[in-house]
Amino acid sequence: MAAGRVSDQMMSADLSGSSEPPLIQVRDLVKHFPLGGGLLSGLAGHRGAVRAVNGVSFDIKRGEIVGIAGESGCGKTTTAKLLLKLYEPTSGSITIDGKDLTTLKGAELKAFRRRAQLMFQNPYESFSPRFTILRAVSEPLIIHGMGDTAERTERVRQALEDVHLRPAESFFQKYPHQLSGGQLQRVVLARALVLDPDFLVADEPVSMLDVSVRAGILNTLKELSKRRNLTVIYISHDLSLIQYLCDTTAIMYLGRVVEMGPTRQIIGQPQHPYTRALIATIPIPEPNRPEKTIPIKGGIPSAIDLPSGCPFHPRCPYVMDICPTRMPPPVGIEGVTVRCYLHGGGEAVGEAAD
Amino acid sequence: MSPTQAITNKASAVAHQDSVPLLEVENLEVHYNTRRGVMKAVDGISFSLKPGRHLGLIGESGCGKTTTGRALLRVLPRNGHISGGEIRFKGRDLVRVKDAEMRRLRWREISMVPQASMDSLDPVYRVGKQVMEVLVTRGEMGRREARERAEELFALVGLSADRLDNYPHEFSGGMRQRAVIAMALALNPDIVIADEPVTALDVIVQHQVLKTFRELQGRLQLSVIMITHDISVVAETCDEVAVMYAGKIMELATVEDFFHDPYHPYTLGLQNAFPNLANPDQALISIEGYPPDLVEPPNGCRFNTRCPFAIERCFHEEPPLIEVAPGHQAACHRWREVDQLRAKAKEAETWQLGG
Repeated sequence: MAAGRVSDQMMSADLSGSSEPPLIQVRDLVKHFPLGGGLLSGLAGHRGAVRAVNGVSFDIKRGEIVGIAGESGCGKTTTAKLLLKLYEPTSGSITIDGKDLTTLKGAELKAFRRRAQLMFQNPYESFSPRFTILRAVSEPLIIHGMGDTAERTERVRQALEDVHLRPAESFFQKYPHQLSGGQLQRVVLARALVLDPDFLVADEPVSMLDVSVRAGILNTLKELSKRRNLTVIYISHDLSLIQYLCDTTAIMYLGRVVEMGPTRQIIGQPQHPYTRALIATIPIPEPNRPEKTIPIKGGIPSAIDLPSGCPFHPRCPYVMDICPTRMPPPVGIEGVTVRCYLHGGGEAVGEAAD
Repeated sequence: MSPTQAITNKASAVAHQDSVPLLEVENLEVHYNTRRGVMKAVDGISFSLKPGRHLGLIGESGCGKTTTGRALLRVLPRNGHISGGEIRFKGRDLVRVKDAEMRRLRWREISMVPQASMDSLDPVYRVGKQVMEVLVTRGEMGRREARERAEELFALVGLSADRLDNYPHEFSGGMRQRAVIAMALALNPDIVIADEPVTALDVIVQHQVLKTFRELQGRLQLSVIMITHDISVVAETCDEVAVMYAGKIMELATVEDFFHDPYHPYTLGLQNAFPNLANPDQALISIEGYPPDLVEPPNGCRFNTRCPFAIERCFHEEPPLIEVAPGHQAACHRWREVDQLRAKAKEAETWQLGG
């Protein structure tokens, strides 16, 4: 694959060309899950795949909080799992600090596992009910063979304090069932941070929690990211929360990043017709707002039979002749990168199209 | 009389008695027997629902909102029972009517869209058959009449009639949710109790389903009790709101007063904690702590352990739900100081406990 095409495909909020190299570079990332080979479909030669991620490229800077948003099935969780090397990509590459993730093995892989942490959605299912909080948060340190008991206990104490479980010692001997959902999710965060990672992937970390305690978790994440220069990749369908937390936002649709840029810009002046529809449908906690009309029709097509060209074209109110022919290239506009022919990119494709 | 006529007649009949409540709940108590003792899940709540109005019951998990909804239909879990109060509906007290009467009334007069019910459609039967089953067994309709009514119901919730022949797996989540709403409307009830009807749905679909509820309100004069944790769902669909906390109603107001003139500190806290896409500069503040144990509820106000404004009185004397402004009730000893409390509630430091 030519280097020129790679840079051409890149989506990034950073169009100013900052000097610091990105922590994470994703290029043309593809992940397809082959469908189970049933005997009959195998004999008939039909063997499709769920095309979860279909050519995603972006850069993430150190210390940045990046939101990946989209409806269920858009590929956001698959992308997150690829970044953590929980899945192997079908094609494309992920480089972290200049190292290609796919080639990591042995000690290097183990070091990566320490640097990259995951925060799960459901805190109630994240713990063994038989482990005390001290044991649960020490677990990653034990696995990575870090420190002796005293050192580990000190690191656990520090991690619990950092997530505002204070005094930390009062939580050491507690069991998960003795904690509230909000407290447990803070323990999840402490367990992720105890290894002092470079980046954290948080997949809908507050969706199971009551509204009254969500803000506390988000504020803690924000504070920790700033203080530790921690990169956070925040996966959510909830753009109100993403607006609150994230510096940069990527909008995904059917395995593609259709728009990416500074969060304020994405939410304040969305460029892609899909982003516009998504934002217009977010309920606002204010009564008597004027009725919004959403021009898009139908539901998300299946990720097995992807629409040709721009995957959004069957639902798009502005669809043009060119849209079903080829995926629009990324175009920089108003500080964001968008993939939609409404904003240009059609000229080049017109020539190149078969 | 065709089903369409029935709908229109009901709507016009209802329009004449606009101010008379359709449903009045008074001092309702619902208890669960648990291993640890009796849990007072709903502890003496009162509210009313007027015809054609949408009432939001909001609060966090365990506040008693779902229990309230289920108590109205007397479909409580086995260890739960109504231990006091009245539910007055069309001249009857639903707490005391016989089981047979209650069975007759479910679906026909009050129906429910239970939590996660879109996943409760039977996967081996066509969706239309499941809708028609309600019409045939509960509504005593013939098959042809039931089919016609099912087509009409699907049109009402924005599904095309040919979809009746699909199986649930051929439906998206939003379509299944609409089919379940169609079933709840099947026998033309006066009240639909909807428990978190959009929680599991993506925003675009959520928007469509909420819009369906609003349209039904206009077309059928349907009364809805919307159970939700989401204040933006309340903003988009409800006329009135009851804020529940630990088995009690803390505040009862029109949706405008709830958002613009809130009185209870819990309501103030909820609004601080809730993100608003239209207000990017808002700082979110959480309400530290967690709700009390309802097996041994604390003395005084139930919110006292989390309330930044609690004074000594709040720990031994329970504040009654009283009228604080016309058509607006709140249960707080300090309601007269509301201007001061609202100003203080906007500051993050106010909500830091244990400091």
